[in-house]
Amino acid sequence: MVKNQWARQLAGMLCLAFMLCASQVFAGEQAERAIAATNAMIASGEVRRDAVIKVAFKSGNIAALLGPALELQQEWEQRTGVMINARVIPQQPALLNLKANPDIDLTVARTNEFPDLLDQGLVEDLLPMAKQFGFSIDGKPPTGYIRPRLQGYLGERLVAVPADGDVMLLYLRRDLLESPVEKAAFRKAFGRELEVPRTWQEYDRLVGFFHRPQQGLHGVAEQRERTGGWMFWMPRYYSQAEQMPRLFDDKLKAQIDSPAGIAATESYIRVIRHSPADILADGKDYSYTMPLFMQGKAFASIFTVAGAKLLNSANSSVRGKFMAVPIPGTMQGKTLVRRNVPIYGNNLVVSTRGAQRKLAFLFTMWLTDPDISVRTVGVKGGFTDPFRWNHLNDARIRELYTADALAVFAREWEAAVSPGTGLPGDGDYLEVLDQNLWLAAGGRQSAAEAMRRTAQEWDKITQRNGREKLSSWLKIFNDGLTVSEAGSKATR
Amino acid sequence: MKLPSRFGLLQQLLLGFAGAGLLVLTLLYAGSRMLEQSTERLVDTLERHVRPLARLHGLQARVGNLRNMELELGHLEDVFALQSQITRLRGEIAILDREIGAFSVVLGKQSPNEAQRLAGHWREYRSRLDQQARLATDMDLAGVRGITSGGSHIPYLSIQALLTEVAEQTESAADQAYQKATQEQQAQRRDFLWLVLLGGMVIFAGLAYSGQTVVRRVGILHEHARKLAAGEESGTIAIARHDEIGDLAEAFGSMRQQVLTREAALRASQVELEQRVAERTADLKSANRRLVRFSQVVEQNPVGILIARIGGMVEFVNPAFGRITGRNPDDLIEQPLIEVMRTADPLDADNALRVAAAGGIWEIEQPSRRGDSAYWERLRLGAVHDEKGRPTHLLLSCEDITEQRSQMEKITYQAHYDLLTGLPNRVLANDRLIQAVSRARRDGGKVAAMYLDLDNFKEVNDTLGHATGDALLRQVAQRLSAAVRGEDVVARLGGDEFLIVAGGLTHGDEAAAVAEKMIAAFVAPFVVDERELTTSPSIGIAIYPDDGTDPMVLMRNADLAMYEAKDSGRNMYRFYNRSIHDLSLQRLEIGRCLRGALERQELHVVYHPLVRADNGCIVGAEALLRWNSPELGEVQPSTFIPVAEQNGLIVDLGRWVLREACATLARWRLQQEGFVMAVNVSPRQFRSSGFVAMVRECLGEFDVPAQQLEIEITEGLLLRNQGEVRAILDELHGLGVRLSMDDFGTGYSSLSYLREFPFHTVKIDRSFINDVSEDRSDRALVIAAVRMAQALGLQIIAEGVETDEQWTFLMAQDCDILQGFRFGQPVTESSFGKTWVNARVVRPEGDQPARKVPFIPV
Repeated sequence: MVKNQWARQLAGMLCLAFMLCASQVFAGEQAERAIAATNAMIASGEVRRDAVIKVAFKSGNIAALLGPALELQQEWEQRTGVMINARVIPQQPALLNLKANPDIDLTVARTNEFPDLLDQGLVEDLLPMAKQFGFSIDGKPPTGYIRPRLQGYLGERLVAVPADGDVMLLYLRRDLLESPVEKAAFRKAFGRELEVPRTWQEYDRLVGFFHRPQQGLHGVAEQRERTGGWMFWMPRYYSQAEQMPRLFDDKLKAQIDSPAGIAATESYIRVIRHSPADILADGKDYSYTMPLFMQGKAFASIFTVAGAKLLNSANSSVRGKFMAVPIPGTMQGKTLVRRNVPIYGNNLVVSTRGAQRKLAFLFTMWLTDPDISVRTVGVKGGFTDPFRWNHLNDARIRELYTADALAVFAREWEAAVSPGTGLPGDGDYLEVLDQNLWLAAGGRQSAAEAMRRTAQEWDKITQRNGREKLSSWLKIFNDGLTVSEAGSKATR
Repeated sequence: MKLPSRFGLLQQLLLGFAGAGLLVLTLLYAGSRMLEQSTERLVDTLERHVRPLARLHGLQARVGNLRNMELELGHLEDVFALQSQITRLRGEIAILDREIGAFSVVLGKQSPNEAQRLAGHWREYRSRLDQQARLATDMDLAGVRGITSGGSHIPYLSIQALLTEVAEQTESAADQAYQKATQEQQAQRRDFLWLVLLGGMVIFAGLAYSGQTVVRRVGILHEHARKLAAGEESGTIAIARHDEIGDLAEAFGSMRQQVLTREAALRASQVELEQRVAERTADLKSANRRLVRFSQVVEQNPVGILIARIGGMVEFVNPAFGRITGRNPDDLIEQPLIEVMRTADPLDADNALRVAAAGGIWEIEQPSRRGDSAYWERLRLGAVHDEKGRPTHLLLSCEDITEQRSQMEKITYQAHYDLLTGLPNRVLANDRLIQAVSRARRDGGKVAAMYLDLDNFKEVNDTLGHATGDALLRQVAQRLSAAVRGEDVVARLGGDEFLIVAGGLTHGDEAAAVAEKMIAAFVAPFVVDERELTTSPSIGIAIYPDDGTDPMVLMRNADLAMYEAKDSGRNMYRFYNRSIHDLSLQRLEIGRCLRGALERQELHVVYHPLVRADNGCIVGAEALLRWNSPELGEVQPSTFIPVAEQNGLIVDLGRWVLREACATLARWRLQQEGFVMAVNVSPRQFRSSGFVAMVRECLGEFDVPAQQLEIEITEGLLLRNQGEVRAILDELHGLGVRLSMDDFGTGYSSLSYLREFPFHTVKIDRSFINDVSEDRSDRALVIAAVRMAQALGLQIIAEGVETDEQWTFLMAQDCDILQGFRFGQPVTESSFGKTWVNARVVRPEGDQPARKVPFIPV
């Protein structure tokens, strides 16, 4: 009797241990599982020992993902014997790169590109392979991926494995914000305290106050060139109402010519007068705005958490003088409504036409392991930003980004919603929006006109791509907005 | 010491070998010592000279790498890439700081001055690099490049020159050490050779002495044996008895006595035996005469005949068997029958013997060889029975059936192969594809069906004749066969169409490699009758099972993909996919809707203004076709024009547009003097019969001056049938119509076309104007195009102008005419008449007085 009781207790303990192991991935375990699966495939003859995985990354991403001296590539090759053939592809949408390079197995794609890639059958649904190889893509701390449903899924399909976390942050000059002289001047001018802006209106007032071009200080260096305007417009649009404004209604009629769209566009345009004179010129992207802030020539800027790494580097004039704060929003009654959008993110996708799809997936599994990935994120001068919760607690990464910036970064994911339109043809929609935002920012049309034209063009694109087909995609996208996961707040 | 009384041959040999072995061991030891000394000298040379040299080269490579990083730094425009490069650069500087420091210490012991110079150059270079890193941090890339080209290359070159100088000195010292070591090695080798020669002479002398002693005594013994054989008297054998040869001489004496006794008895027996043989011979002669007759029948039979015993050994072979098989009959006697039959499978021969032994007839037709030549033979095997019906022998007949087989094979070949190229024909190709698909279905692999069609082959046939075309096809077949893998099938389906079946694939993309090899095979020109011909393939690929499981479906899909390759510009390959199928359906749908669209008034013409660059005056318009289909909605010209071009509707559409444009021009020219109407003409319409007559008719019907009508053609039209195109252009030029080259810069952009053909105008493509403000290369092309047109006396029109900035730039380059959304969208005739005729646009720099400006004369 006693013996049976003891046996039951032991079985219970073993079950508990198994459940703990299954519920979260321990550092290094995911990588070892990928290595073991790869070696098992080779031993069984399913793949040849001299097999080659063809990966294609954009310029700079090769070193960012495979290590500055390709040490991660070498480690993988030494441990499995499977070679990595890495090539550079142009800075253009993943759709074009995958079409132009049918032989590649693995590449990167941004979240808003998923619908096009799936619609054209260019990338694999990774769930069957994840199941086969025991790969868990949960988002639970302390080691899980940050917001995997947002960054990797489209509906119930696992399109990508996140390998970069690019939610936007607002960067301000802490030294100026805390200066007694500035505080007094601000109080005198506006009758209120100088503090971190919570709304877009406060933000506009604040950057206007610090706009002193004659002293070599611009109020804000926020990217406004012809392309990419949507990234800075969408957080403004989505924060215009407590019930999140949608880009399309259920019948796919464009909604952005609404008061919310016009208000967001006006907010987008308003900061132009507090920006450098050539901010609208082509090519003035983050490689123009971030160095301005880094050299102390701008009071504010908006960019991903990568900005914190840059501004905290030894080369930065504002090291120790800047702060990262949440993206502003709008006051709806007494409630502050803020929403953020991840941009630029590098998510790893497996091509449907690659010869080594399973190996590519296993390599992805290995590369994004909690331990392995720390070695790509915690590198000076690297491109890859934190994408797993354990990155935020790593001492090297905290030193690179600053603990304060990482804390804000972690909180901003709670307000993050899916980028882009969620529809096939996303590139066309965003291009039209970018073009009209740029014309409006240059004073060639009003905000209302810009939104009206964009809505008209969007309706044409919808008509061209097939309204009925797009309806099902829109439903998937909208359903995804309301999915709750670790680190998020459900969107209404 | 007492010597043994008997010193045998074995002892003598052992003593000799021991002496020779000792000598050889001594020589080997001496050689080994010399080799060791030589190796030690080589290692010493390596330690003292070669390793420092390797370190120097490593240092040079590292400095070169640093220079490369420095050069890259000035060209990185992404701020993160730049930061990454700065981090790498600083890391490399730190490493080189340590390595050059350590090397300077070593160098300083031998050459203090050079060590000091190296440290100085490095300090200077490092300070430049630090300066560049600071500038790069501030995104001052021009400053970085300035230092790269103006400041850092001198200390860099100085370091490299100094390291090269030190390396040369080290190399020189290493050479000298190597020569000395070589000389010492040669001297040692000479000594060793003398030693070997001396040892060899000693061994030779010993062998010569021993040999002479043995040979003399064996000679005596040989002489006595010869005399015994000849029956001569030989006397006593005089050999001393102290070794084995002495023993042999004594035994020989005893044997000689016994032989003489037995010889006498044998002679008596011989006489008796000869008598018995004579009697038996007489009996046999009678039997032989009968046998000879039968033998002659067999001997002279044209069929090869072989007789073997039941046990299988050959007894008789007739000459015909030898002639047919090419083997000497005598060589086959007493050979096993199984081997003589030479069946491919030994089991066949075993079976043949069993069948024949059981009383049956066994027969086979098989390939065989006669010397170096091959032939076909028919073998028949049966048993020969005695008068009691018992099998006593086996009879094998052999016939040469090569001629019969050849006739049969020729008939089969003609049914399955293409006589012109020798490749499998459509029948065999289908069969091979079915087989490959069956194999793939069984093994789980993939098969690629590749449909290949030659581009422009019809022109070769039409212009150079069918004989040349046939010769070209033969060469194409050879190149294709050489380009594919051994197991792949290349077949000619007819005309200039080929099918390639590639089986055993694990992935569809492996077919891409095969297709690329085939395309590469067409790069070199074909030479037919000393004339160089160029052609290219368009290849469509369908993969089993991805694109179909039925071979016929695969063929159809490969054919569709081939047409996609042709539409995409030819000389390429395309994989079949769903979108090709959909595109094909979409084209069919567009073609269906387009038929009758003109009658249903679904088409209309819009006009886009042409603006004079220097003052903004409207000088003309370009007529553009639009289609609003009730079924398909607003269809883009880029979508329906290619379909119309393909199905020939473009000729009717083009005629209608030209008439509409001329009718409109007739009205506007009354409102604005010199107004010019530009009309696009597609290649098919341009080549259609009566095109020039139609233009002439329009001009006459609407009373429009020819110089106010401008015909726009694209550069691609000039690539083929230049003689025909030139004739049409000359006729149009003769009418007085203006001629314009459209989309300049997107094709071959050949200056020769502009010079050789009678163009009045060049239109620079919008893609170059879009980025003219930012893209330096686009700006350079536009400037070059304008200068070239000016030099040739041509007028230049810039398309796609959208901003004042572009206008200002183009005006500064003396561009004549502008067109683009900066001036407005294309509009209907009535809108254009109200808004644009006799109007002008305000220039970016400010207003200018309005004036009517005719189209700029050429």
